[in-house]
Amino acid sequence: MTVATRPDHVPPALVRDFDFHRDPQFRTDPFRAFERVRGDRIFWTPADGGYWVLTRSADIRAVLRDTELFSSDRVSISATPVWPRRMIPAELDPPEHGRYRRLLLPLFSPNAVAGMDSRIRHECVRLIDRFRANGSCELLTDLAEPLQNKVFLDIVGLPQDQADLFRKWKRGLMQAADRERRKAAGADLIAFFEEQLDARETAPQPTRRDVIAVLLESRVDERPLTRDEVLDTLILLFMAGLDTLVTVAGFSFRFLAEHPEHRRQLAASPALAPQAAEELLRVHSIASVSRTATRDTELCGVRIRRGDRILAATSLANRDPREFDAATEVRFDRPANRHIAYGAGPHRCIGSHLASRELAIILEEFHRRIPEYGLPDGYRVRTGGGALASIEAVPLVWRVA
Amino acid sequence: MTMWITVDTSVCCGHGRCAAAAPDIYRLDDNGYCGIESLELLSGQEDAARAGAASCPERAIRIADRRLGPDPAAAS
Repeated sequence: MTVATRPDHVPPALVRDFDFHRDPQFRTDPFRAFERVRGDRIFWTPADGGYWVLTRSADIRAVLRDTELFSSDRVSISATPVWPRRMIPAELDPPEHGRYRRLLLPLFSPNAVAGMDSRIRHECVRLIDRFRANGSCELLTDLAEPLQNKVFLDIVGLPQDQADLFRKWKRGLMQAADRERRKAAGADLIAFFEEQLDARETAPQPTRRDVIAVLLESRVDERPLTRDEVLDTLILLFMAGLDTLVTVAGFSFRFLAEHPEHRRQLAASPALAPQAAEELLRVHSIASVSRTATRDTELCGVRIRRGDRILAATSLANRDPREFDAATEVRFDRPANRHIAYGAGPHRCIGSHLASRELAIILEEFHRRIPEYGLPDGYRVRTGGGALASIEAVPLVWRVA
Repeated sequence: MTMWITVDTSVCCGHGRCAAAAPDIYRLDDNGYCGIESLELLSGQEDAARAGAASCPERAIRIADRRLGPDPAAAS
């Protein structure tokens, strides 16, 4: 999208130069880059067609909760749209949204996730043991990504032997700058999903409880889901579920590698991992979601016109000093950590409990085995901004006895 | 004094933070949403209940010396 001209209802005093897709500051630390706008409560940027940005937790939560006034219908403020239809259920509004979301909730509930703990832990330990004696690893490709691929393929109900292909499509779809490569990756992925769905329809596996089984068996409005609806859901899970935990794990280990005191806290008491995971999620909140005003209204004392888009960056909410004491400090023992790294309101991330547990397991098992480590001397981690902040590689080195 | 927790289930979005802080008090339903609307606390549960309420990002949980509700008659 292009740079917009300021519409008449936007006061010139509220226009800021803000571009979370292209601003070079997001290439080293997206969360700190967001903090540059902390002084404003709300402002408008002409980037990507023009949109409003909120900076306070209370305002962001209010917008995310008010689904009637602020719609999710195809609003991603994105430089690179990847899917031609609405993704289900993220881009549906209530009550339609709930009819689809409800189908998947039992698979991702805290109880369901607790039942996966030992399998995730076992795989995590297996992966760590593969590189432990080497004295080095790349956190994303050696640990977080293969672990997340396995967990994802398992819960969705896809064959494990396709993990390498999946990685290729993911790269093509989410990281490729050129449109043709993205299109090709998208087409390959859809063909793969179609093939899997055909196979499951021909030979149902009644004992399996995975996403595909649920989508194929469920009814919405007293009818089965259409093939398009199933695909629109799988694509969303792919986009939202495959890379996000890997990214947060990457940012978390970058932080721990650079902060020996926090690292030693975890190594000394690995049981601290669940709380540490939530705090690391708070300060590394990668998701920025957007909404569209469904009618003319007022927000934070500013006139908003129907059709205006609003960016709700969870990083800004979770580092808001009005909401958190010492908001930019990382405190593993922070009481009542009511962060919204997973969003808020009805669209809150459905995989949150799974992601939190995976991150806690990674933190716990890694520090049990490798308590002291760092980034290679002089290494600079590269990151990216956008609707989901990204991190390129987190190489870690340690001494082998 | 008897204390009550009241959960606005229409606001609950399934963060599950209440149950993480106080699993014996805030039981989640099969979908991961807070499964209680109101509950009389046992003596000694107050601190855990408060920690759970303070953890709720949606501010859905209230604690009072009586049962609260949208209907004033129910609060008495």
